Amino acid sequence: MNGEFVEALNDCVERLANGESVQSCLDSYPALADELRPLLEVSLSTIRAAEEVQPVPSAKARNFERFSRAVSEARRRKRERTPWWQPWKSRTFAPLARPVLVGFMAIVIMLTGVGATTAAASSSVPGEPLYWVKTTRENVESRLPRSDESRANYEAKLAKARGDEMNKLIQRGRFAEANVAMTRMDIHLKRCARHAGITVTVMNPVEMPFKPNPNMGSDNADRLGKRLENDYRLFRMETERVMGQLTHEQREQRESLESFLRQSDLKYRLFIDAARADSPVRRLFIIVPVQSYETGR
Amino acid sequence: MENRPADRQVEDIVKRAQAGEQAAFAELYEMYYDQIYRYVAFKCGNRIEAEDLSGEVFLKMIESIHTFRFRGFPFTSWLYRIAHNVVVDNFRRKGRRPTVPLDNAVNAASDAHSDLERMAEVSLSIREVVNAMDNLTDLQREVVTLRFAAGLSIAETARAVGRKENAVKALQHAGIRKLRDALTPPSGVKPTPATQSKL
Repeated sequence: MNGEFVEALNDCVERLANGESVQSCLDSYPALADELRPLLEVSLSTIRAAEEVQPVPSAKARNFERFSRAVSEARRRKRERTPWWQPWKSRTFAPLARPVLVGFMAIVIMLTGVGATTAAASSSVPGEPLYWVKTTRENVESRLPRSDESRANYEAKLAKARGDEMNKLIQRGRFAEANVAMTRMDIHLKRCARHAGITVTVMNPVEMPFKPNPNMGSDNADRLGKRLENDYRLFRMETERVMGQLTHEQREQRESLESFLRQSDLKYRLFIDAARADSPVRRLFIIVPVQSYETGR
Repeated sequence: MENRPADRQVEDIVKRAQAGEQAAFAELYEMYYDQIYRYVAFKCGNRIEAEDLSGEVFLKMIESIHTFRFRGFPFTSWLYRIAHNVVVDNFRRKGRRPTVPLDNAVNAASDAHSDLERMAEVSLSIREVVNAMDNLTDLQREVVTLRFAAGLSIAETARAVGRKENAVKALQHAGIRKLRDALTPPSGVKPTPATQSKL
């Protein structure tokens, strides 16, 4: 098919519809005039014939009345269908409702999944698949901006978490990993002390300068002390229960564990007393070198 | 071709109608009724039927206007799709195309056309055109009706029939040729207004 002819015909049809004559259209396409003429005449006749078709005014008015009633009815139905307290059910919001609902459900599922994973990870111990989730979360949380008091409490919480892990690992006979957990527990306790404004030293405490924390009031220090006391009580109970389950062949581990428990006991008590000291000068915490119960050093 | 409202204006009215404003519906009716009537009349060839079906088109528009979205799709094309479906449904219900001529479709308004030159060029009755349209394929008939009766642009027609613009131009060309073949007397004598059955 001749594309040029089709375009010319279309152009002429547009012009005829806009009121131009056949001849003026043909003048624009002299080379195609002979072929265009009969088609343009038919086109013009068709356009004019169509223009003659007009609706009867009475019928148009009758239809309009029907139309207006239908509009009123549709509005009434819409009002009935859409209570004002449920605007999302309206036709205006309905197209949006589905994507919003899908997005909301996706977020809920994601958060539920993350929540379930995090919850499952919270009871995991080193060496388990979800343990990295637990440590990652702890790393992220530890970097959040917060007050010194909050940091001290958070470190105390982590110290307890390491203590729980240690007990679980001992129950499973994984003593090497339990030893690592014990060391980490000690690190968290030291950090807790530092944030609480308690001077940590392995030297003669009299010679060491103290580093009072002005943000740590006596009430806060008392709360921290109570927390540590409670944590340690639970930790000790659990450790004693675990120790009671050790077999005769695990006597060596039992002795090391008892030694660690004694040291921890002392450390916790010193720390708690230092935290509760009424003067910053007395907030000294003497580090007793951690003894590995595995190696017996 | 009638003066056509600007796209912005149509968009504004349609949005108001979607919000349930009765006056906006009335504006749409006034804006499109005559065009839709002509289109339907061309398709079904019967005045009474065309009136009923045109009314039905606007009732359908009320039902589904909330689904219309301005995403590069002209409202006119959407409305003519409704009209097309209404006419097709009517044909299905009746089982065949109507044969009753549209002679009475021309109302007193045609008496006002007294321009001699114009009358000389109007050489066909609507009945002849509708009958001649039977020689066209469904798609050609749809394109010719949308272009000549409804006054849609090539772009709007393309949207309404779901074809590309070039394809619509080709269909228009083929449709006009078939109309010419059907309407030109075998003797080659061009019909004149005097020889036509008056509308």
